[in-house]
Amino acid sequence: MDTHLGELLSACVDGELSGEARDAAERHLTSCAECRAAYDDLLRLARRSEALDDRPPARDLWPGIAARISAGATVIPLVTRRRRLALSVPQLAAAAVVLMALSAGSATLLTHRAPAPVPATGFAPVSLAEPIPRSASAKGVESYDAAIRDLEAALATRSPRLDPATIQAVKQSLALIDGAIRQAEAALARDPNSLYLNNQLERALDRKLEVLRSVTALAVAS
Amino acid sequence: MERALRRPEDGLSRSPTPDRTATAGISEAADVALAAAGDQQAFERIYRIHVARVHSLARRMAGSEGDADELTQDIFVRAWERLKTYRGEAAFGTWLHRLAVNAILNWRRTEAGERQRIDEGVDAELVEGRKSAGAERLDLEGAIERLPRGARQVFVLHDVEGFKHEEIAAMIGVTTGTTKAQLHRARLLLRALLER
Repeated sequence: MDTHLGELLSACVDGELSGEARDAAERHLTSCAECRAAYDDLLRLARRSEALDDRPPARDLWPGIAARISAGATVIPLVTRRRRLALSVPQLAAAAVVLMALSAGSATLLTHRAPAPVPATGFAPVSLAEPIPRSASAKGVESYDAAIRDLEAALATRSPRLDPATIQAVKQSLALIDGAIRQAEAALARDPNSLYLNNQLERALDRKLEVLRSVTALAVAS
Repeated sequence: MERALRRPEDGLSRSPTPDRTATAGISEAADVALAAAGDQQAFERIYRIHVARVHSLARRMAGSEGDADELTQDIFVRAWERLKTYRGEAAFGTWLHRLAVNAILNWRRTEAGERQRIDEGVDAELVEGRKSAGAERLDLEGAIERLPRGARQVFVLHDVEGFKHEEIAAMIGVTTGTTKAQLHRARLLLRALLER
């Protein structure tokens, strides 16, 4: 390679060359001081660039953001949100049951297992935080657990604002979903590599998260 | 050579959006749910966690602190409006970062349309940057700000944010040949600026 490397220098820095092109570039860099110096500089530059620290703005931008989102030209007002959610929660419970029934694995479960009994009032003693044994093979279970725990904690502080009938409906939905989770885990304990069972477990965890998110949203809006 | 050339597998180690710690992710999941339901205090906590990253991205891409302030506010307002579309498929930080990149690129397209095509202003812009720099010795952040807009955009996305050429090309609607050329030009300009 007689001419200078030019744009190939950046390809060298980024490790994009292979085979003969890479060997040729290496030979050139060995013999060309100009390209070698440029290569060393660009490599240092790339390393400095990827290590740049982020720094916050010089002034606090939150007041401006808060004012804009409070004005909320396109944000749905809380009152509207509350009305929509208040109407949807019983439907939410029903939807959870329907989803369960549509699932082949869950349908089997429903024929063998009744919903767990729930207390008449209050959210504090609810089995939301009931520990559920996990299969090590279920991917991402820990992240589900973490999100569920946080939503349950957030909900525990806000649930007194909810209507008792709503609480009851949500508890019943969660009890059904927890039953599906246990069922999937029991099956996974026997067949930990089953893709179907792992998917079932993930779907059940997704449903639980969705119910918790929705009811937390309702509690916040109340 | 003291060091063999970097191989493809060496790569640049920085990911586009570094994962938060597990603990931060746990509390963030709840705050995202609360914010999506209209809780501004939860959204402010999210803002505090991510503002440095978003503002730094905006500052480097826009090239000025004032534009970065405005962009950062726009990005968080947009995030607030779109929180309900976040489904948790990716980490929240990844979702926000992608939203920020798209917002900045859209802003830049408008800017480019109002002023001039990116490539037409390269030399004049760099000369102007050199004049304003005077005898001051530039640090890397200052040198990036003085890059021509097109080169700066590709440099920041590739070398600072860790996006691949294919991703950058798709985002800004050019070929990878163009992004590679812009990146190399940016690096040479930075080398020259930093050596002054």
